[in-house]
Amino acid sequence: MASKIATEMTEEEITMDMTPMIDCTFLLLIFFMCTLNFKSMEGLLISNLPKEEGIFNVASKSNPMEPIHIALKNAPGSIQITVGSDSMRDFDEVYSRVRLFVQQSVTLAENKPIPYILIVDDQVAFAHVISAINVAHKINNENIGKELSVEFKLTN
Amino acid sequence: MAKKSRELPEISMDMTPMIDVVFNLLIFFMLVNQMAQVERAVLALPKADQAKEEQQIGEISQLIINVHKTGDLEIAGNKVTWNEFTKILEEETREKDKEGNSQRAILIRGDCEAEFRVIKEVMFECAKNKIFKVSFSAELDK
Repeated sequence: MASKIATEMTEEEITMDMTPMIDCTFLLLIFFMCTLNFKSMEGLLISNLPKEEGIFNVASKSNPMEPIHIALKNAPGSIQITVGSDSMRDFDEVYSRVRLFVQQSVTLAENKPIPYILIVDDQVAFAHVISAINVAHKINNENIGKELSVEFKLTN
Repeated sequence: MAKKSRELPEISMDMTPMIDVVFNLLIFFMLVNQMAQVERAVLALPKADQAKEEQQIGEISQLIINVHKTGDLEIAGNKVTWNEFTKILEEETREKDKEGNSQRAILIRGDCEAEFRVIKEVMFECAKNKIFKVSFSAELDK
């Protein structure tokens, strides 16, 4: 009798219930899928800092081209943009003005890039600075014969 | 004539491949989640339609400096003080070329609402350490 019970016990199939593990795994999977921050389409705007002595005044001494000065000043609720001494409504207007300037300077014999100097107030949001740099890169990518070199006038 | 009752064979599904796939996916998401957070902080980057994708520029060994809206600096997943930042820059720029300039490139990832004051200070520090290759991160706006 005892030996019969023993053989029945050894023959009993041992199974593991996988359901809770699969449930947990799926929950974790869903959690990670939901919380994953997909890498946004990120790009670069290349710029160079001035190599001249005295980084406070960036205008390149070795470049004889007349520079274009873009000033960004913080105004209540908006931003004040000036190209040279002219006030601009937005960056589209800056683009038109600078493009015209670049086109006119194509005839000049010098092959050096035109300094595109940004003078930015401390309180100006970084997004506006990027918009200003973007204008220069847009003009450069159009290959109209002259290039702009983005530079900063850094003042303490 | 009496009908013979046929015993249906027991149908069982092999769960092993499914569990394998699920575990692989799980490991993938866990790893990707960690890696993405290390160097690049979650920032609202400014948009620029002329920004070039990093693949277009090629592999550049660059130090990524994240500038938060509050002006805090973050490098490699750690928030750093100004003193720590200057020390990191000094260490990163020990190797100089014949002209005494560093060949290290810097990528500034600034929040779109960050004040230019902080970015300017970062650029000052880079120039002091003879780093002239500076790029800005922007969200591709196409």
